[in-house]
Amino acid sequence: MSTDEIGKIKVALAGNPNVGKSVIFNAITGAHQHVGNWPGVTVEKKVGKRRHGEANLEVVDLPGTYSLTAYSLDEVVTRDYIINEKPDVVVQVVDATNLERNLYLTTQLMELGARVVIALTMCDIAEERGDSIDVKKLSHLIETPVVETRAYEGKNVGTLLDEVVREATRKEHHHHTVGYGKELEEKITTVERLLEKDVPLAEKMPLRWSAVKLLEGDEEVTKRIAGSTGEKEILKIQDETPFELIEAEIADKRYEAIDAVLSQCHRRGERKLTMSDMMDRVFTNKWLGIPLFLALIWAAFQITFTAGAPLMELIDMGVGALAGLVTENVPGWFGFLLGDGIIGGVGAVVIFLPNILLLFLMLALLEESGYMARAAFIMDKLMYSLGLHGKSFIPLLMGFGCSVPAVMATRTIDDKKDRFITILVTPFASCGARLPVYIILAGTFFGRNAGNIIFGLYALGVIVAVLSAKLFRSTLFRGSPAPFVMEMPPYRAPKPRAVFRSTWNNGRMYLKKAGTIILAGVVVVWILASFGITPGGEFGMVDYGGEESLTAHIGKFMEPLFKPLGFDWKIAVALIFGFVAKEIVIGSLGVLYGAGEEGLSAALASDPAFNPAVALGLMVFVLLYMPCMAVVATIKKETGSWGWTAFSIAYSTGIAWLLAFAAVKIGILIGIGG
Amino acid sequence: MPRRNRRCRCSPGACPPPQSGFASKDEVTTLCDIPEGEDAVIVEIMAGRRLNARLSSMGIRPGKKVVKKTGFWRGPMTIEIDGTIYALRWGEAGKIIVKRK
Ligand SMILES: Nc1nc2c(ncn2[C@@H]2O[C@H](COP(=O)(O)OP(=O)(O)OP(=O)(O)O)[C@@H](O)[C@H]2O)c(=O)[nH]1
Ligand SMILES: [Mg+2]
Repeated sequence: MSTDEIGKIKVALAGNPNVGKSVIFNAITGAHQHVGNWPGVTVEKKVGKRRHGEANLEVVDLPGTYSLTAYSLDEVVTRDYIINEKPDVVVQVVDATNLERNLYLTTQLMELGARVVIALTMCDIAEERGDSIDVKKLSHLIETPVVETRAYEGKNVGTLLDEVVREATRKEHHHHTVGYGKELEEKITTVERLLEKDVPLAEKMPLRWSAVKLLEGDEEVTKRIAGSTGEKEILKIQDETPFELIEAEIADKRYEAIDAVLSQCHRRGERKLTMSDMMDRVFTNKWLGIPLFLALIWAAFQITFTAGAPLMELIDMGVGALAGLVTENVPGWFGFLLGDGIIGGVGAVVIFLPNILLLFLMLALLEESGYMARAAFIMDKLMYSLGLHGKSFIPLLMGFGCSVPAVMATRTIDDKKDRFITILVTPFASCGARLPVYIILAGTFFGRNAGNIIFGLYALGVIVAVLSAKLFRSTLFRGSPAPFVMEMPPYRAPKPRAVFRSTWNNGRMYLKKAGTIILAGVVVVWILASFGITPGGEFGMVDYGGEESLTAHIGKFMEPLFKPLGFDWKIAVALIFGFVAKEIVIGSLGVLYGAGEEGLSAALASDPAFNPAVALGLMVFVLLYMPCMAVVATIKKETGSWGWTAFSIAYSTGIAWLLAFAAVKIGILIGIGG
Repeated sequence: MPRRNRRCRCSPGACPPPQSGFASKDEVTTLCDIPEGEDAVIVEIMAGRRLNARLSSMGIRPGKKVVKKTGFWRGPMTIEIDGTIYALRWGEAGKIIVKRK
C-alpha cells in the first residue's frame, strides 16, 4: 500500500482500569491527561492527535473497563465508543502482572472484530515479581501484535505506533474468536443467521459479537434489534436460554482459551512477600486503618498550611510593593482600578499559590502512591452504615482539589441512587478554591490555632457530606448501597516527575483562573464599587465602596438574609460573586477593602464589622454554600436534570446558612464575638 | 439463581457469626468464614447474574486460588487472586463459595 493512502487512522486506547492507558496517551500525544494509581481515574474520553510517519493518528484515551458489558457510566463511554465509532485500531493496554484477566477483555474485542494491538505495561513490576513472558510467542499464539512499552519513560512508543499503522493498513483482517463448544456454537450460528436477514442492521452490528451478547441476554443489544426482521425468533430463542448458565459457560470457555495460550508463554514467579503486602498489613489493618488515615490527612493539611505560610508572605509583600508603586505613579481612576481593583483583587488570590501547590502535591502523592483506593476500602464500613458506597469516598477526597472532576468521578459508581447521592454531597468536600478564605480568616482571627480551625472546617465538610448522604438515603433515595468490589492497586513509590507534573498542572490552572475569570470578576466588583447613584440622583462615580455605590445597594438588598449571621454588605457582595468562582470571595473582599497595599489580613483585622465569631461563621458559610458555576454546570451534566441541580443549590445554601448561624452564635457564647 | 444447601448463606448486612474455631479442613464454606492469612479455592459464586459476570470479568471466578488478606470485622475485606488485590464487602464475600485445602 502506498503511503499516501494511509490518511487518518482512528486509534482507541482501551483496557482494564489502572493499567497505564493515560500514561501511553500522554506519551503519544504530549497531552497532560490526569494519571493516578487507582482504578477509575479517566471517566471521559479524550481525543489527541499525533503524526507518525505518513499517518495522521487520532488517538482516544478511554476509561478503563473489565469487559464490554458496561456496568457503570465510565464503562458505557468506552463500550459505546468502541462499538459505535468503530476505531480503525484498538490498542489494548495490558497489565503484564495480570495477563489472564486482561486478556479476557481481549477475547471480547476480538469477537467484536476489532483490529487489536496489545501494548504491555508494568513489565518492570512483572520482572520484579519474577514472572517471565515470552512476548513473541504470545503474539504468535493470539495472532495479534504485542509491544512491550515503557511509556512512563517515553520508551517504545514509536514501535507501538509502527504496529498500529501496520495493523490499520493491512488489507485482510482475520476474525479471531474463542470457540464455545458445539451446542453453543449452533445457537450462535442460528442467531447470526437471523440477524443477517436485516441487512441495514447487520451492517451496523458485528454479527458474532451481537449473537453472543443476545444469548447472554444483554439488554442493550436486545434493544437494538427491536423492530428487525429476526426479532421475534431471536426473542423466542432468548426465552429458552438460561442466561446465567450461558454467561458462565462463555466466560469459562474464554478463560480456558486464555489459559491454553498462557500455559505456553507465561510463567509466574514464586510469590514473595512484597513491600506492598507489608504496607497493606498496616494501612488496611482493622485497628490501625482509620487512625492512620486520619493522621495522614491531618498531617497533609498541616503541611499545606504551615509550609506554605512563609512563601505566601513573600508573595504578599511583592504584591503590596507593586500596589504601592502603582498608586504612587499611576494617576486618576486607572490607578485606582489597577491598584485597588486588579492588584488588590487578583493579588489577594495569587498569594495563595504556594498553598494551592502544596495541596495538590499532597493529593498527587495520595493518588500516585496507591493509598486512594485504600481510603475507599477503609471507609467502606462507615460509609455503608451511612447508606453510601466505599467508592463514594474517592470523589470526596478528590473534592479537596476541585469539585468538578470529583463530581465526574462519580461515574465509576454503578448504581444510580448511590451515584446521585454522591453527586449531591461531593461539593461539601472543601475544594482548593475555598482554602484562601480559610487561610486569610483563620490566620487573621485565630492565630496559632489557624491550622486546627482549617482542619476542623475540612472535617466539617466531610461530616456534613456523610450526614446529608444518610438523610438522602433515608428519604429521597431509599434502598441499600450496591455491592462493593474494587481492585486495590499495588503501592508504588510516587514518580517525582508524575507528581511534579500533576501539581504544576493544577498550579498553572489556578494562575490561569486568576488571570481570567477572577480578574474579570474583580473588575466587575471594582466597577460596581466605584459607580452608583449620587445624592443628586445621577449615575456616576461615587465615593469608592461607599453607601451610594452599586455594591452597597446590592449588599443592602441582600442584607436581611445575611444580617442574622452578622455579615455586612461587603461580605454579602463577596459571597454573591463567589458563585462565579469561590476564589472571588477573597478577591472581592480584596477589592472592597482596597487591600492591595497593606494586605487584606490587616484590613480585615481593623474592620469593626469583623470579629472571630463572624469570621468563623463566614468560613462555615463559604465551606457549605452553593457550589460555584463550573460545578453547577457539571452537576447538571452528570445528573441530566435541572431539578436536582436546583435542589443541590438550595440544599447546600440552606445548610450553609443554618450552620453559619450556629457557628456565629456559638462564637458569641464562648466569648469570641468581638 | 440455583438454590443449594449451603453451610452459610450470607445476605448483605445479616450474616451468621463465624462458626467457632472456623470451618475445618476440606470444608466448603464462604469467604466470610476463612481466617485472615488463609487460602482456599473458589468453588462457586452465587451473587446473581450481574455480579457473577462482573466478578468473573475482574478475574474473581471459580477455580481460582484466593488468599484472604485483611478484614474489617463484618465490613470490607481484601483478598488476593493471581497477585492482584481486591476489596469486597462481607455481604459479597458470603456469596463466594470456597473450599479450604
Ligand atoms: N511501574 C509502572 N507503572 C506504570 C506503568 N505504566 C503506568 N504506570 C503507573 O500506573 C498508574 C496508572 O496509570 P494511568 O495511566 O492513570 O492508568 P489508566 O489505565 O489510564 O487508568 P484509568 O484511567 O483509571 O483506567 C499510574 O500511577 C502510572 O504512573 C509502567 O509501565 N510501570
Ligand atoms: Mg486513564
